[in-house]
Amino acid sequence: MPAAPKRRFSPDTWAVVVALVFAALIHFHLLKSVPW
Amino acid sequence: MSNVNSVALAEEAVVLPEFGSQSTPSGTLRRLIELIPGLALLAAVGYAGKWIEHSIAVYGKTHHKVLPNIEYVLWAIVIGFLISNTAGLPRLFRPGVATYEFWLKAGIVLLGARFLLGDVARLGGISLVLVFIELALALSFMTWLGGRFKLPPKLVSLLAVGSSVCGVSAIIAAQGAIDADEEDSSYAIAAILALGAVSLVLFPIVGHALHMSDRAYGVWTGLAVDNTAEATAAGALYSDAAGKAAVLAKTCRNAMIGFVVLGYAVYWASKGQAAGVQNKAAFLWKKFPKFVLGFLLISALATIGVFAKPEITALGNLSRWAFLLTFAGVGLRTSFKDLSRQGVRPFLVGAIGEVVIAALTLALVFGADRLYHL
Repeated sequence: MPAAPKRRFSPDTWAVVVALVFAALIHFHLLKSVPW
Repeated sequence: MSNVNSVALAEEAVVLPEFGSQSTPSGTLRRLIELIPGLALLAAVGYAGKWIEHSIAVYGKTHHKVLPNIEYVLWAIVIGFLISNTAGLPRLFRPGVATYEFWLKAGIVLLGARFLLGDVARLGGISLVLVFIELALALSFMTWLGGRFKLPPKLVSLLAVGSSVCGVSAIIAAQGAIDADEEDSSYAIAAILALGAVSLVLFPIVGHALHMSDRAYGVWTGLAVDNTAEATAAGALYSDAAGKAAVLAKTCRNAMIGFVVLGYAVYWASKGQAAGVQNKAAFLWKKFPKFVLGFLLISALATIGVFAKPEITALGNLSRWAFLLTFAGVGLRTSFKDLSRQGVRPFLVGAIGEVVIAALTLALVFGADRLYHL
């Protein structure tokens, strides 16, 4: 198995970034609604 | 994690594309493509759970039958269990399935929007005091009980968090925060969900037998039933007013999730400290789960009114979709073999704990009702 690439951000941080991006999309009405 | 399947999965690190790393564009693309089969499996298993829950509800409605409301959470975990313990999980699916922790953490951050610090203030005096007492009693008792039964310490933490705060969401939040095994979280979730289903039947019976007022019964349900859906349902089964009181008390407990998980995260991070660490603050920062801060940030933004009500609903739904993938992953990564090694003790601890907590909170509510007329 090849060596894992050096990570600049942890998956934790990426999860926060992705969640904040979605929160921004919803807040600025770029994502109108999310059905369940 | 001695099971072959679990070990094989554990070796598959969460192979998220590292856009900020030294990997080449072709390497990133290859890893993205490798995620697709597992992600599709997570989505299929999670959606199947949601479909089963919906289908049972529709069947009960059309045939005028009262069927137990078993949440998609349990179905997704069960389907995942069945796949991983019968056919097994082919290597092709493993990278994508391993991303479930990513969805877990993203879901928790988004969930922050549904936990407003202001809910605590709205609930007001007596109920808030009861919630604090319940938290202290439940956390202490479950920790003591788990120790007496010699359960793994992190499983004890998960059971304590799950039974004191808000069931599955709290267990999922705590699992990431304290880096617990997925088997432990499966156990704790299964115990909380199974006991939640039992409470749907038992709580109304006890409430009617004791001739409890709507508000007293609702507050008791909100304090003692762990999962929000079950707490709401158990309240609504009694009366509309009881359902509203249950939701209020339960929301107050939910608002505590960040603080309790934060406390456990700090506790476990400090326990993992090596002997020669010079900079404790830097060590704690490195170990500290950043998604907890994300959760608190979103919660604070929601509290100060950044998000309108439809936006909070959308964020809540988005977190549920993320959890859908998570629950499927929890099932797919857990084996019956490992569960049977743990024995019935976690369920026993959960059951004893729930009965004692229900009795203690019942006494609290009766006392508060007599003194302050809830």
